[in-house]
Amino acid sequence: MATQPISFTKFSTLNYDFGSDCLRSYPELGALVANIIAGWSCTEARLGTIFGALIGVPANLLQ
Amino acid sequence: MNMYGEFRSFEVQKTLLTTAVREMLSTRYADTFEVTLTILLRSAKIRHTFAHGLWGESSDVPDALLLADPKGFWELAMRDAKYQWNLPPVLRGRMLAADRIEKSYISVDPKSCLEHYSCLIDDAYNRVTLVYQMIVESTSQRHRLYLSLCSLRDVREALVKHMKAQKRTYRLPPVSRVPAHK
Repeated sequence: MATQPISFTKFSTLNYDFGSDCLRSYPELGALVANIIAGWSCTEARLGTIFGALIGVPANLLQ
Repeated sequence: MNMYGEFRSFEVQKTLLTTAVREMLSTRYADTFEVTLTILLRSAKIRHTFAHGLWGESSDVPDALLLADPKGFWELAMRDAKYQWNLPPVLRGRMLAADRIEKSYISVDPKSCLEHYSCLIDDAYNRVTLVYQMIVESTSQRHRLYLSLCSLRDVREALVKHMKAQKRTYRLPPVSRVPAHK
């Protein structure tokens, strides 16, 4: 992940709150984060399917 | 599938899959498969950072989320423990003067940034689906899917580098012959 330069805003390292319900406070941004995490899980599942295909698991069991 | 899932590291999974593909497919298809997995690794890193980081907010950046590397908090806890250790017993429990993690551990993720990463994850899924089809389809379909993969700029660039590094002698399909694929 490319870290954004902090200097592009007035962001101060003293003014933050971690561990709160921020993903719920910003549902639009939270949905994007969820899409990223869940999207990778789909990719990983597909890699598992590839492995299954390579070791000869029948196609009807791979879906 | 559970057997595959036991290999937790993506690098190990990649080696396992690539070795199996090399046993089954010709070099050009196996190379395409391998470089696609390398491209997927970038998406895996994004996912891991997002899943293992701590999310936060700041009123200074109301349209963005903050993401902190947990290492920053471990470091802070260690700093505090050392500080408490050196205090006389009656003063223990006082807060550190600067109880904040280092700036370098925090990234700011505005909406545009999150949308960009989201697109990368979607692209990763499209690519893994193409390589899956390339493996399971018939020989004629396999070549069509291979051409589709070669039409993707990142795959093609990675293939060129890989072929050079491995001293491959086969030729990539000309760009003009490659069917357009998103």
